[in-house]
Amino acid sequence: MGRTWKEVLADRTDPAWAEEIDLFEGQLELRRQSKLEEKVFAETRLRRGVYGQRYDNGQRADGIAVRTLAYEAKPTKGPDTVWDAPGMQRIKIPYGGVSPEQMETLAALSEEYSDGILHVTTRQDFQLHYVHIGDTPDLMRRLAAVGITTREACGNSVRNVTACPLAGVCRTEAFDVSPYASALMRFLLGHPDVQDFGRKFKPAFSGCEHEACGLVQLHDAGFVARVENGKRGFKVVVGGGLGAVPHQAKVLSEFTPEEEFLPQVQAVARVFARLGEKKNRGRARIKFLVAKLGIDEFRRLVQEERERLPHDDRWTAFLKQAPRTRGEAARPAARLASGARPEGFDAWHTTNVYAQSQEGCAVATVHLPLGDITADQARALADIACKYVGDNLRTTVEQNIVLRFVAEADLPELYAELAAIGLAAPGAGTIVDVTACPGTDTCKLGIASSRGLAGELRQRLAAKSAALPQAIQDLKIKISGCFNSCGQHHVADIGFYGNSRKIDKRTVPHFQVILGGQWTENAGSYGLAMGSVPSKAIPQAVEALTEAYAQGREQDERFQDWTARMGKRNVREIIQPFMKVPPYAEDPTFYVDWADAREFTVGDLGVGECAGEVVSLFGIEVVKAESQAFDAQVALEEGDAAAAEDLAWRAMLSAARALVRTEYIDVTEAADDIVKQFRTRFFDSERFFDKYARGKFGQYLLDRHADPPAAVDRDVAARRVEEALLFIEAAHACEARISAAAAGGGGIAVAAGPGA
Amino acid sequence: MNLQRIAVKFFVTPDPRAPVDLEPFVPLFHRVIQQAGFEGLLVDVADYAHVTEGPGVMLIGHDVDYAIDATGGRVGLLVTRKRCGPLPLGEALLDTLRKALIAVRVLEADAASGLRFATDAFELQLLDRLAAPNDADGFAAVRAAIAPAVEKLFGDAGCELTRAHSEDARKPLAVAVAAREAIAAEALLQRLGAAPPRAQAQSPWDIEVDELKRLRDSGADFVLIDVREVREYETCNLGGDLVPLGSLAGRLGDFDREAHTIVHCKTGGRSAKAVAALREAGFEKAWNLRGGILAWIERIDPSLTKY
Repeated sequence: MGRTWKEVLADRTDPAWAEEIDLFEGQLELRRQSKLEEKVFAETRLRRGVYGQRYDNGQRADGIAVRTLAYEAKPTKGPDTVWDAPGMQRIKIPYGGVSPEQMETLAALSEEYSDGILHVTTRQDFQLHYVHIGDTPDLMRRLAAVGITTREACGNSVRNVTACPLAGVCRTEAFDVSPYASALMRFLLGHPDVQDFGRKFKPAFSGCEHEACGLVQLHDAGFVARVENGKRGFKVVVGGGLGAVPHQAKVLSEFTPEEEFLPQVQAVARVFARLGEKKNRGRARIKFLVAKLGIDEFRRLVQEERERLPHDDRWTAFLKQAPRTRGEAARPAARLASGARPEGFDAWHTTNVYAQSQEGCAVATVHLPLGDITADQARALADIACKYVGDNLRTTVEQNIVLRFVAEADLPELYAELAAIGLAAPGAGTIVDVTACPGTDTCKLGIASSRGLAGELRQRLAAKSAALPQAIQDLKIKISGCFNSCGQHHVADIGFYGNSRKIDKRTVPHFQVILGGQWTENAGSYGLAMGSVPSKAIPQAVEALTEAYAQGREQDERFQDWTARMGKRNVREIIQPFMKVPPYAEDPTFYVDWADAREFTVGDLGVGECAGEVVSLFGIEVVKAESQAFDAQVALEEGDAAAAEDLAWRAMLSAARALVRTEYIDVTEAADDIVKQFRTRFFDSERFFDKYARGKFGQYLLDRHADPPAAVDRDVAARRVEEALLFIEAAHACEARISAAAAGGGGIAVAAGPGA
Repeated sequence: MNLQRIAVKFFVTPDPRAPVDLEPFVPLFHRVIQQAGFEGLLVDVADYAHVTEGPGVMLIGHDVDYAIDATGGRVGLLVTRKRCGPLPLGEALLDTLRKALIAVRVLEADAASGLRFATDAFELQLLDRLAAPNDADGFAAVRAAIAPAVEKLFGDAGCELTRAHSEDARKPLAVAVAAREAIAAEALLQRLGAAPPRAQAQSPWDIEVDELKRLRDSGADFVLIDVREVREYETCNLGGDLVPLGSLAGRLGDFDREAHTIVHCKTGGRSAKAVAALREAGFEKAWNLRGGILAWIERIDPSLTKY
């Protein structure tokens, strides 16, 4: 007894990794003794994947009032972050490759430090929730012993390197990108050139151009496998990203030979570190730098930097080590025999099985509900993997796990074994397989319950999925809890992000409806906002939309094309009936979110500094902004970029004016006057600031005012429209904070102590 | 023997393998948090009803988690003590059992739960593989560490301790404990030194006397209304505005609807009605002092005259 994990695992751990964890443990101890500054410690732990979680400011609305959770007084673990409050541990899984042994360790960790659940994220990571910070060093040691590091899983660093989960077995890929993803991950992990970013940097790999694969178009850096004249290389794109304002990545190079791709990325990293925005987080992703410089200038700078780089053997060393094979089967490949099949097998086979490029082998998708798997299931899945496929497990960005190299003849038996542990649900990749970020369940930024809504939609759709037309079954639904789009709502047929509206003096959870995003072509285009629907009416809105599509689509017309043909105005009419919120007295359920019992509030996100007189005038005036924003989207759709940009700008002005009018009724219609008043009253005073996004949204207005675009193309206009929508959101939020403050801060602060 | 993390599971009776509708436990657990009905610092509710044989619906705490758990196909109340500190295992177990039995009491009393638990047997899970490996030696060590404590708890007849989950060494070590003679949950609770059941909430807007004390001490801005009769007020009072319940309706105009308003009576019954009426009239920040002035005298200021 008395042994520690550090002692027990010492000889099974890479000494460099062990030392890093010891160092982190030391920093943790220093912070506990207040000998390290809280902001410094916060970034330190983020870079090790130790993330904050909802209510870690010690405030929580329990349905009656915002209560202070009575944690022991200790130093904080970051600004406004209570030491003992549960947190989240993100675990990076490069290209989603996870071994049975690693699954077993993850299962054990979830039981010992978390809540017994492993959660797969939209970037192929695992996350554990409700973890105490004191447990994180041992948790990391146990991961390190099985070859997993959490280093740079969060923070302003190179995040998990993702890749198509079919890499190596795909029928349309140029070649297996897995060894390259692995090489990039190892090359950049802890590299001195990636330590000084203003914001995170997400890379992704894809084996081919036209499938969804790695979703490279929405990544900071994307690599699409190409072979030219028998030589391997990549088409390299940069500056994509979802977030509040989505950008499609731009082509940096049509073909970068395989021996050149690491130095090229290194040059990109150096340019980003040197020229990227550092102060304003809202403008710090590489997409803003690429947009600001233009891709041609960015490319020139990268080339210049590339020429200056001192030679590094690692650029090409991996090419000699990397296996050129595409993995191998644990059991001999064999065709699926005809004959009796287990009940439910055929439906599962239709949606969850993919025939590999290797004869007689298949990929089976284990469809995880909301990306969750229990410790017992994870262990059992590890056993199943050992039996049928060996090491060939991968997590996917659709929050599932795939088993690769299953001999087709084994499929019925595999299905039966998965069914015995509750993991044989059909419908992978279909409308039932709803993707959702953690949202209000555990995320500090979540506004509405993305997981609650996803659970509700799953249940309703699964109940009738067999009866749904194929066209509806093929749709994808993706949900984010806020505009930050971790649920990747922009690239779904039907996407949602959480927001809230003040109605009847109460706050009502809503979701903005985003339609017509593209999943294929590596997330080739983003959907458009249609308006906000109350959370509780979303299932009906989905039903109406899918029915209208099924009935109105022309032969083989995709959802995206259908929405484009219908036009925004007509599509909006379909969801219009569901946008209204009944008064509280009539139906109070609208005022409570999915999978919750508490009356909805965003009050415990922390009340800002907004204070002052409230005039309900705002509600009336902001409608103008919303209709202008809507018209801007219509103009964009009709291809009139200049009109769209102008309308979006005017929408921002109207929203700003609505806010200014709540306390200065005489503001004129002139842009200069509105901006001046907005700046002095709401921006410089930081009253407009969001707790997390700070002045990001207000800056959109100020920037557009100070610097009108010389020329407007579709990109500029599309961005402006996004900005306008976010600015209007922020104006709503600011007004809600002001009225909450005027009403007394949203409830008495009552301490919830250890009870009984 | 010290462990970080242990868990106790009481199984549902009569049939722990029967499916349980988990939906009511989301609002139920939120209610428990509002009323501090379980022990520990209670934080939030996590809904895992969508996974098969998983932790179901959980009430996440800082030091203890509570779950309607279906792991292994048998439904029960799983109570996980997460931060045992330097407490010896036997004592940590008794403390966890007390927390679990208090939770059983609350769940069985709540009509929304509809569950009954068998409390003369439980499963102990040792969720710290380093200190308690799932092997014969680990079991022997745990058995030796907990036997005196549980033998004493179950009285003369004692109990059986057997190793569970020995089939898979990757699972945490678990011990099935079964009393040789049936014993009621309340009797166990008494032996564990738990207080008798606490008064149920009197209104959805209860606050505790300790909270009133804290607000007073911190100089917070609020209105205190005493809805008892004049004679009672003369016997003892907390310095609130005297508005006997019968006259409240006519005096609403005297008070600010926007202010935090705490109402009390002798034991909390009349004030609960008053708070409901105030809320109805637009006082959105009206609160009921649970247990009334008698609770205040008992817990805060015994110098006042009790009546």
